[in-house]
Amino acid sequence: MTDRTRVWILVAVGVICVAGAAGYVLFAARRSAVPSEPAAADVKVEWIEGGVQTPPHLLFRSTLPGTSFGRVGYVPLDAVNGPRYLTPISCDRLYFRAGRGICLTVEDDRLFPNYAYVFDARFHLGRRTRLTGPPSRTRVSPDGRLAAITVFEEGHSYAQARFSTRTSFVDTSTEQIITDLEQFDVQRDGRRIKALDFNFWGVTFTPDSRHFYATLGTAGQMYLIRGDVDRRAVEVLRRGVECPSLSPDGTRIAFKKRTANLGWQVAVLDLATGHETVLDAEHRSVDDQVDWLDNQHVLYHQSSRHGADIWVLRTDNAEAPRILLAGAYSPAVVRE
Amino acid sequence: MFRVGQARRVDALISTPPLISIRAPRNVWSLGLTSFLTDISSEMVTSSLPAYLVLQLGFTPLAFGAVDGLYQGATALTRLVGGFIADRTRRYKEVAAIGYAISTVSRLLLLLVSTASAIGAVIALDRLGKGIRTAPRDAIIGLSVRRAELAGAFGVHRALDTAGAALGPLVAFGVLAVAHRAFDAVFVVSFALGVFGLAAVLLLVRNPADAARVTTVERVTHSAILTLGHSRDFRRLSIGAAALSLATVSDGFLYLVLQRDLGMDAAVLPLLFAGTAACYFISAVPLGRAADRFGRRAVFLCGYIFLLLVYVVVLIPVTPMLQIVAVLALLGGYYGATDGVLAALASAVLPPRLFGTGLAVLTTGITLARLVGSVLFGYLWTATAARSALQVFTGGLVTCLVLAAFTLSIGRQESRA
Repeated sequence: MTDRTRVWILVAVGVICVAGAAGYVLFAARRSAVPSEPAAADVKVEWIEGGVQTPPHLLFRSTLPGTSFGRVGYVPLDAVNGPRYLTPISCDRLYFRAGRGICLTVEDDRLFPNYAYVFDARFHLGRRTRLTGPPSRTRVSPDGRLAAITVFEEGHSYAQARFSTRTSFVDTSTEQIITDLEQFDVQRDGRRIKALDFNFWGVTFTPDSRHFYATLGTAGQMYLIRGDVDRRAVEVLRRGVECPSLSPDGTRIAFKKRTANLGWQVAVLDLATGHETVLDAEHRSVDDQVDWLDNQHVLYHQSSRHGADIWVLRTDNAEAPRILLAGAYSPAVVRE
Repeated sequence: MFRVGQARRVDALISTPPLISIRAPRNVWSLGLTSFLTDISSEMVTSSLPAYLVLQLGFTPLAFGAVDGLYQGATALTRLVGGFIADRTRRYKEVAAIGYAISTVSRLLLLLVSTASAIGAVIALDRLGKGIRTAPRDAIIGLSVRRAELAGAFGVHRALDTAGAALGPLVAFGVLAVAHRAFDAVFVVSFALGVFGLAAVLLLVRNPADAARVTTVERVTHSAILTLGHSRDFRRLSIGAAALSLATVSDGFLYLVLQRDLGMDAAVLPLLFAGTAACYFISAVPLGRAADRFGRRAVFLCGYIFLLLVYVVVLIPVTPMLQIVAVLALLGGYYGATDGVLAALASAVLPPRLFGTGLAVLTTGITLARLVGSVLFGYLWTATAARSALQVFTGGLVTCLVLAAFTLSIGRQESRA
């Protein structure tokens, strides 16, 4: 085979590769432009545009194909199987309390695609805040004045697919980021600790709105921490607790407990006794910061052919979980 | 063991430049093209993997990060294996091609997996491929080029390599902009480019002409590798290079310090990497040629002086824009003056039949030194503060520069053609 032949063969291979790649990209572009998906046809939902939030209700992001896809909706807790209300906003993750909400979005067609917005009870979006990575978790304090946002940041070399998280606190009235957990003092057994690999995520606020629980990951271990926003300090409490969520009565924390095969189970920690109950009525891995429906039930999402469904599980582990809302994601229970 | 007669023959090989084959420049450009395509392919995936894991698979990648760390050591081993096998079999091109093929296949596998451990395994496979091919690839360049042109040739290769690495994230971004959240399209494009790169190696690269000549000399065996240790020049080069690597602060850390000092948005970090890559691209060939002309050791040490200046610029408060531009330019220049030039220095010092193994040993030593250095830096950062850690390393780099200047200068005629 002469050199010339080789070069021509290479050119041919190159053309095939580039053409094939371009073709696939165009096919994928067309695919994402067409929202229909026959597989989800079994969920029939009546959507009502507009409406006013009337607690108690559940806010969520709709994953059903069609006009509702990606948009925030809500449904009264006493009529979850009835019509759902559709809001004008779209969020990847959201949370809402006391008239203030946080909407985290990923707008792929921009160079910096990750944003956060504060929104009010009428779903008017406030000023846009750019996030430094894809959004992960968010919670709002019971008085609505403070919000916590966790994002994933790429590691400190884009040659490694490594991660760190950044958890920031937002003042919902000024819509500014006021601090992030990296700046906080960390205490453990009375001693101050510090390390480069600290990662914080999964904040849940206490009823007084100035304290919170969260997760600290370091050296491969996950710890439950309790923090004080004003003092900018946290304290390590316990090992093996990820993504805590405080119950409405403030006595228990539902969290993710790592299992042997790199998945998670939902467990409930009684803060007074320190006793943990693993909710193994749910056999599948749960990767979500659960939200409490009431003092006896928790909510989380699972992937499904509708995109995702929101499931409800009893915290006494007496019953198998069941679907509360199909085709929905990022539940936020609004009680008052 | 080395016998006197053979030592003389090997000596002759070292002092006589390898055959100037018509393939010589072609091998360099071909490998440059391959590296260009392969780097676009791999950086596309690396830059979009975080978003893919979070958005599409919806799982916490922190589990994946733990798995990722385990494979660092494995990469070092595969590098040594790749270099040794290439030397022993003389089939540099084939060993390199296997490495490229393994990495290309791993792209395809990404389309099929969705759990943390599986993705970790796929990344490990990609690393395996990279480890296997690096030493044979550099050995081909070293064997295909006249000694007088070694650093320039490596400069050309490294420039194309970096260009690919800088374009990768842009191509990924372009794909995702056209096809919303279509990460499978990113992986398919990455796979296609990987295939293209593999084809370039298979079709255009020729095993170095004089490799056939070298087989008449003693075959590479385990004991022959000890001759590497006996080579005083190689030893001194390794020690000097390792010492300098020990005092090297990684880009990521430097940008982090800069970002915190200047209060920049963390989303700007990828742009800093891209800026350095651009400066590396621009400087690689000129600095390589300069190394051939004025002395490879001199340019190599100069590169580390650039790095020293980076530390100084980060520490001294000047106008932010000036700081950033200076850091990017100096860091890019550091890479241009050291990466390819080191490979050229090694090629000038090693016996041709041990290029693969020798380059692999050198790279492994440097990687280890860098690892120790970064652990040390991380420890200093947490124990004290970022600035004092950098100050310590500035002093350390000065010391290592002096040490390296000594070890590298007591050598024989390796630095000039």
